[in-house]
Amino acid sequence: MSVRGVGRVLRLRPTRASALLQQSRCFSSSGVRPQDQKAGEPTTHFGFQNVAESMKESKVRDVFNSVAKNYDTMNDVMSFGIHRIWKDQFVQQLNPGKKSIFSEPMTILDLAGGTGDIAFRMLDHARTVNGDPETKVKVVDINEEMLKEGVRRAHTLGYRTEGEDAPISFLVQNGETLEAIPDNSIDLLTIAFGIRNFTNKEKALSTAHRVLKKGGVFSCLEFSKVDNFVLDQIYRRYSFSVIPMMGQLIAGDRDSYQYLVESIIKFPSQKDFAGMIRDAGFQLAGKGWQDLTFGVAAIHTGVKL
Amino acid sequence: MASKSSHRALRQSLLGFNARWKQPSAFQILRNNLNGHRLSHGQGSAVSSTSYTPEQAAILSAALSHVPSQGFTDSALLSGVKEAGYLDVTTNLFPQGPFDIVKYHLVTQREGLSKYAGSEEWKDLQATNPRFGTTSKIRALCIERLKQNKDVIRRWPEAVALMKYPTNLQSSTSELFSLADTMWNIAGDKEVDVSWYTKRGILSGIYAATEVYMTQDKSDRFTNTWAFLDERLADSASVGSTVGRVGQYLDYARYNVVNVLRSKGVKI
Repeated sequence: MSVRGVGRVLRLRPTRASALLQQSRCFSSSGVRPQDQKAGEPTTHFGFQNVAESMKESKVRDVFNSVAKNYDTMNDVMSFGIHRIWKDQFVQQLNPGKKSIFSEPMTILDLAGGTGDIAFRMLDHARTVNGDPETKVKVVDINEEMLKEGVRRAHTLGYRTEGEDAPISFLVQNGETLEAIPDNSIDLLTIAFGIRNFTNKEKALSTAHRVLKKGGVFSCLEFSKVDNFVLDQIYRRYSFSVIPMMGQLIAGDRDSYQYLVESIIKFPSQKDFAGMIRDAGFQLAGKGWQDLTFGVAAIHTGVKL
Repeated sequence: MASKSSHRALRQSLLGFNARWKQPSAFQILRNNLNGHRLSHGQGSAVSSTSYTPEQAAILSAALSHVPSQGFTDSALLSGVKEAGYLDVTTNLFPQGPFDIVKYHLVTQREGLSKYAGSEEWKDLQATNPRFGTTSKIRALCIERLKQNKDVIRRWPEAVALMKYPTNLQSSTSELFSLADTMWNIAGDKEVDVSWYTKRGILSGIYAATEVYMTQDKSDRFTNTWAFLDERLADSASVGSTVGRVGQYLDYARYNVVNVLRSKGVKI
């Protein structure tokens, strides 16, 4: 009892600290804030701020417009390169590519795929591990700047991106609706470090359910909750003091990285998010998630049956 | 007798009233954890429904039918998925891979045993044998359960290897313990004392050993396996009584300590 009580008190502290942080930021950017919210409109959170739902999309777009160029460098710096291990693990487990001559090649949709980090790994895995050169990846992102970065990388790696049979194609789409993707057309839908930025996560999940074939898999790699109390304190300390500073130094953009760490804290816990996936009509794989690095990130998997 | 009733009181206090305490202390949580497997597999809840959805069951049973030819492997799982009408990628539904097939077999066969206990065959067996005691019941149940391994017995060493993986060990041992628990419940064991654990522990050991023996058994209709089982059960009869005596001794020692403390004025 007493031990838990203390834990609860301590756990509140970073939130207070960050509330202070937020206040101090208010002074610097207070000019922008009042326009964010029109009277009567439903709000959603953008980091620790509350903004009108209609505003979140454009605000997220602004964030990624400004980080697109330095996106991969910053990921490496912030996570000490661990994000590469997570992504490798993510793709390896999903094991994309057809596994027998009696199977059809897969159509993979990488939602919020931006610079193609996951997509290139998928193609590579399908080709080298499963010997399947036909499996295709569609990279979908709401942000054109991020996609341009992806196209550039695809060309550097020697992949065609144009035409019907291109192994990788890039598409600007809102992930909550995916208008250009027909129903029951996708084998595997992945989203790595993206679902956090969606205004309406439930809608995104039900859209994912719509576009997947029967037997199709939804898998999501996302920052999550650290379950060890001590490690969680260290992690919070690090993310609230070091990451925004590095954003400032390396990418020259503190606010975007402040948003990043705030949005991580705001994201639901493993269990809650697994519940949301179940509610969207998926059957969970096992208990529904797998923690990576003590829960700093987690892989959630659901299957449409 | 007194010891038995105190055990019962302890058990009731653990099982019955904990749920009402809103904020259990660390000690209570620990006790609950120690007691956890009783809560889930105790006599009251021996017959649980399957934890598999119809789709999962369809895939896994199809996969199991491919085990004799393909073994407990990813390819058997893939064949199961395809046979049930799904995609290559659907294997992601089973994060533990082939171990999920093993677990499915263990769980469904254990539940099958509970059904067997309600069947006419079991009632006939009881009616026709006048001396159908607890040991005979346990023997019959072991044989009935082992017979369900017949189809996959040549592949069973692969399953054992999977069960021994560090990540799978906990789930496979608790499944084995549940099996022993189910058997004792069917055999009508209502004792709640120190032997509750030893009985289940010993039976788990006997069953696991016999299962391993069976994988190497080339005799006609596994007669050697049944003989092996009989020997182990005979061994355990003496082991069981020894353990029982140890329990008695510990009880005696406990009362001694309590009485000594009382004599010194400690209020217990």
